[in-house]
Amino acid sequence: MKILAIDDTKTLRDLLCMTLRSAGHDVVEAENGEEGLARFQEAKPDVVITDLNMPILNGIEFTRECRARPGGEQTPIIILTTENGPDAKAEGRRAGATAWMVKPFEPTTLLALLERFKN
Amino acid sequence: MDFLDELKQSFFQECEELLAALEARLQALDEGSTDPEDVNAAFRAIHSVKGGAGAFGFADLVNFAHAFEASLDHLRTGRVPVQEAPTGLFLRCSDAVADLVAAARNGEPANKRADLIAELERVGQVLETPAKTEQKAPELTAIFDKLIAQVASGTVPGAAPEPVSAPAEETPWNPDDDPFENPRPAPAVAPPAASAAARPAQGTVVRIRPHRDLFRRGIDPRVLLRSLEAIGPLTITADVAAVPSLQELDVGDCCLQFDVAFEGAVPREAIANALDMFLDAQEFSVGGPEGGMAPSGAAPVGAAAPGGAPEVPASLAASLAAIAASAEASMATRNDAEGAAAPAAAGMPARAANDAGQPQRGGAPAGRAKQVGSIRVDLDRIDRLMNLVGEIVITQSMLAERARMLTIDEGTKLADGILTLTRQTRELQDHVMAVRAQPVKTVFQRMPRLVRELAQTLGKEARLVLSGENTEVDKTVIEELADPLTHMIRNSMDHGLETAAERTANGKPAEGVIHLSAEHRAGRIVISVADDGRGINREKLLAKARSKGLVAPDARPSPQEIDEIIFAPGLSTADKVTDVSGRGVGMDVVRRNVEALGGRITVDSDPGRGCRFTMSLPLTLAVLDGMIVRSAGERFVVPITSIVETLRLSDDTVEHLPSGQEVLRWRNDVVPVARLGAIMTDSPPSDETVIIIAETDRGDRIGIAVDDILGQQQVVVKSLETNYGRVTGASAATILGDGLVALILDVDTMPRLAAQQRRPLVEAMTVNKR
Repeated sequence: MKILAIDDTKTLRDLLCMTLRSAGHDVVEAENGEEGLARFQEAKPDVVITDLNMPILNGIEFTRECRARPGGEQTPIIILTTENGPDAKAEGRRAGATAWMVKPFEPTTLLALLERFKN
Repeated sequence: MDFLDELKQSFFQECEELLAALEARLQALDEGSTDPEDVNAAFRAIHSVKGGAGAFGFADLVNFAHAFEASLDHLRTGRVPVQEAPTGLFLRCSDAVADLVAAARNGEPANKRADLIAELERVGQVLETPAKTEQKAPELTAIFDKLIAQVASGTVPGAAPEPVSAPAEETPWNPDDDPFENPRPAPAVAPPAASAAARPAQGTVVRIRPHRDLFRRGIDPRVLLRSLEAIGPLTITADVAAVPSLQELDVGDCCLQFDVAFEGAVPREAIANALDMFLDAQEFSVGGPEGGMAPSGAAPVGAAAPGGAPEVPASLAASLAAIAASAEASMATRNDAEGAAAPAAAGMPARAANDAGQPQRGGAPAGRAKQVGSIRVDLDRIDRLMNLVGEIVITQSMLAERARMLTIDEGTKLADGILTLTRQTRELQDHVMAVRAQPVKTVFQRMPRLVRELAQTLGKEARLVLSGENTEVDKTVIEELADPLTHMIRNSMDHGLETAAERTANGKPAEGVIHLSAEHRAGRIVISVADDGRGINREKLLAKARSKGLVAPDARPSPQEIDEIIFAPGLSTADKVTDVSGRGVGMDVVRRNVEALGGRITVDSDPGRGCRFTMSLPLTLAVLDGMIVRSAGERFVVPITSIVETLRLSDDTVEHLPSGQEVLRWRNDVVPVARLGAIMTDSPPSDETVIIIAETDRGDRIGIAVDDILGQQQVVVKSLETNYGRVTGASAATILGDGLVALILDVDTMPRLAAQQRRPLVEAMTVNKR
């Protein structure tokens, strides 16, 4: 699958990309929500995995924007974050996030989740 | 105040809460909710109002509430389908109830609203004989109904325990049978399941009741079901009872509900883990026996995983541990078990005591947690508590300062104690703050009515969208929010949104949208009012400002600067004075109110497309985390929440722009540098070597150059305006451990001051109010 991975922290992004690539996924990277939107338009990924707290456009804002764009209505968007509060989650779901995963993530869990999005 | 008056006051206070609840529920119904709880809660609210009003003899209120209640009762009993509820009428009625309550409170004669009562009385009658409205494409409707009927009639008796309320409109549905599905390996059947299949009621049951927005979040229900399938063998029944008729069906809405019956008992955690990441706790509930409890023996978690998903098979030990853990957790949900749980639960009465201690995760209707008791406390008392906490913070930093003067040996011993004290003070403060925190909902809730009324007055079509209404903020801030917000919404409705005709002519939907949102950002609360109207007419605004002498005739302000003129005092751009915002009070008052709270308001306009006002306010007016820095021999406090990074400056990273502005290359970015010493004191620019990269509310970065970083601590915010006078560059002041005053920097003004690099402190010193 083609996956767009958005995280402003390079180490974490690298880790995420490594996990995804090792499972044979095609990965497109972005450093923040704004860049993520641009990449989203070009690459048309099957799934998006985004961090929550990022400069310029955060994960929630990204999700909201993405959902409002043609082609972005249905794409699964997974928010991968250290936050686990009910408020943050509720905000995420209101913005249209598909799933909420808490960091640090278990690679097998994430990959299993992605597997379920496969058609 | 005599006893009866006191009672009345508490009734009115309660009314406010009830009305807020009523409106919120009606709003939810208006937005398409079919949750019976919304109907029930609305009914209960109006019923309580009626009861109280009767006790005090407010006859008009009782009459109206009675009609309203009767009408809502039709929804409750199902005589009028929830989907067909006249929510617009109900919302107008809830406004009318608010008016009647206000009239009763003020002892004024009330408008009895006979018109609305008449409309309410028609609700049951009109809808009792459902009008056949199949003018459009009757053959399509027929096909749809037939389809639904087919799905419904495919019920397999005993496939799942049937809820009393829902008719038998359920049918087995297996993701593997889905024709759209690519072939996948069939799920492995767990050994103990063979017998369980014959009596599926013995297994754990998961009821999935997703919100309608499921599809809009990119969730394919199959993804949810596959996640459950990975836990163990199961039967899925889709409940189509909530699917409306074709004419009312919005294909974007998810009206399907699912009941998933596991063949064996599975641990609640496994289910929660699978669904938590997708769904709210309210969207699914777990019933029936769970892992470790079933008499027939539980299906182990790992063993039942299908071959398709790359799950690591759980070891036997891990499965056992999971089962043991779930045995504890499952007790918490016994009361929401769907009938089948009885044999399992009856055997272990001794564990009932665990119930109270277990957090509720399922949230099934029958399992609702008990109402937590609450008391009303005078705000004054909490304020006193808060002040005291502030004083303790100062004392504690003073102690820390003193400890540093002791010998190492003595100092270390004391430091331990101070560390504990610091932690406890912080905890104390958090708790006091939590007491004072309230969701902005209390203010936001008043706004839909405002928009409805303004839309009527102005003859415009408008919809208000709220988001982030659960964002919590200090009570004092909440109270001060209502006025500016009302103003901003008025402004958007009156000046921002166009009339329906104008909008249609410009290719916009006739209905304008105002988006009111709140969020926490960098230790502040950011509230914005955005409309999709015409935006600010800059030419007109500038011309007006020139004619009023607010802008010099030869000045060439930037678009952003022109937009900011809207906050200038004594300005009105409306062609004529209207009822709505032509009251001589403008956005300048809003700005003043917001600034008085230590906040800031900005405007972003996109001509023809809309306008957004953003106000950012401190979460609390009392304490903040600060970094203490030194510059030009003075100490300053930089709020930690705005700091991005600190770094040491080397010569090759600083460059000079032609304007003389210093900039810093930082992470592929160019950041303006503000020399703090030169900005805040009258000392000449020096070679400050420590840079603090800070972020403003707008998201701009600024490098604040200082001599040294002294430490980090909580500081108590003391208003400069009330104790001294306004100081450019500082938002407030504080008292440090040694008893001396330090200024708290207003990071948001730094970029502007860096560009000017003047000496504002000297100017400010002349405004000594003391």
